Amino acid sequence: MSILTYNGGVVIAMKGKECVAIAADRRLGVQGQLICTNFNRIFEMGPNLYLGLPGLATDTATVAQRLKFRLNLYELRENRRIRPKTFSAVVSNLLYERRFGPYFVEPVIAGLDPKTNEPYICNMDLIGCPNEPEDFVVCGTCVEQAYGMCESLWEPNLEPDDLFETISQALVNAFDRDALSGWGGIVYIIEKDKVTVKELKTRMD
Amino acid sequence: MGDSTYDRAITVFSPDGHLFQVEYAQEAVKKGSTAVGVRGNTIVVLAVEKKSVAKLQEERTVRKICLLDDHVVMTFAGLTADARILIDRARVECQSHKLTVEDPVTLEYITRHIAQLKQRYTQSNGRRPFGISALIAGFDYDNTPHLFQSDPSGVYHEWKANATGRNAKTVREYLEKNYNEEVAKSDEATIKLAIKSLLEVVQGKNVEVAIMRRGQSLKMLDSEDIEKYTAEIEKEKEEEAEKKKQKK
Repeated sequence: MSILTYNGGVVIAMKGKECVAIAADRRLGVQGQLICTNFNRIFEMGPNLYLGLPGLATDTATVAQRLKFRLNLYELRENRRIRPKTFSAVVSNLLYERRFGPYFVEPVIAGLDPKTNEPYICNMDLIGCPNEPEDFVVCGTCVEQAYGMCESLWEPNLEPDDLFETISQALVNAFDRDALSGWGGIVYIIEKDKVTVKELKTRMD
Repeated sequence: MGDSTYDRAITVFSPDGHLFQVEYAQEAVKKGSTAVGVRGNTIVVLAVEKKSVAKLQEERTVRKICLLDDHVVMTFAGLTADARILIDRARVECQSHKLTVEDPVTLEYITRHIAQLKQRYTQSNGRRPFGISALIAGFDYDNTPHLFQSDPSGVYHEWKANATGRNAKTVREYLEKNYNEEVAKSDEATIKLAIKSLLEVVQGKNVEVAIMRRGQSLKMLDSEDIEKYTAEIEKEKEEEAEKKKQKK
């Protein structure tokens, strides 16, 4: 079994019209055995910047904390909020620092630029190679299923409510076909002036 | 920081037990622009003298009041360049502390850290002491307010209100006369006291004021707010003068 599939989990992010959404499952397991159904994989890094960290759970916690450290120092020194693109670079740098003994997480970043409010999504591999597409990003144990769902359901310029429906359906139907993900879902819809969090009621298996 | 390959100490004792380099650093502090700090019950206020800019210089405000973390703010008197280094090291320490013990720093901890750093530089090869006296203010995570002062030798003390830099003695005497429990209880009175005490030695337009209320982030007062307070202070002074005249 690969170390990246030890705890299970999946995170998806999608771009919409002047908004982004990031969603994840809630399962934490030890290989086949379920441990808890309220595990947090998505972390708030700024009022309009969210980071999802699927992969090994201990590294999820550590990377999130170390990143917050770097982010706080950045904001104190520069006296402004970080842009999502710059934050991507910080994450990539942190991961590549451990090129030959990496953190087993594959980050997903979703946010809006603090000045222009342009939507931004990005995902990376475990050593920090960034991928910044125009539509959606997925990382986790059911990537193939998630890619399939997103490719069929996504369309450009979705309004926040439609984006919520799309990302929820993509997430739920993807992790329903994976033994290691699921047990509930959580969706963050990030708009210019508010962030809405919704918990999904799903099959609990 | 890091190992020094210098082998000669610069800060050495004099025959009568003084560390002259440290005392000279304290002289450098006395030449710096005045900084005042006042601690209320639910607010801390820092005010500094703003140096007037030359004609061709851009008026971009050189901030002498710096955030070390969400709940800690610092200002200083003395060599600004030295202060930059200390502020950066303190910021890193605030984050490092948060990461390792999962608690934000207490004011006493971060002041002790800065003071220890300053002391290290009075006992190292090839280094000179930092030429700054820092005023560190903020709230601990149990919401108690604190104000600390540290000087180039590395000693630190907690204060209810203090001043450092040029004319610090005058300002401190004014604070001693006018600081009391009543002032500490009211946020507005605390802000006014800080501004009033600084105005004893500085012109009204050249002050920079920052306040931190319990549970809120740092707020720099903009020139409108400062004018409002200076106007109120002027009015109060006039009323005092009137009363005195009438008594006579």
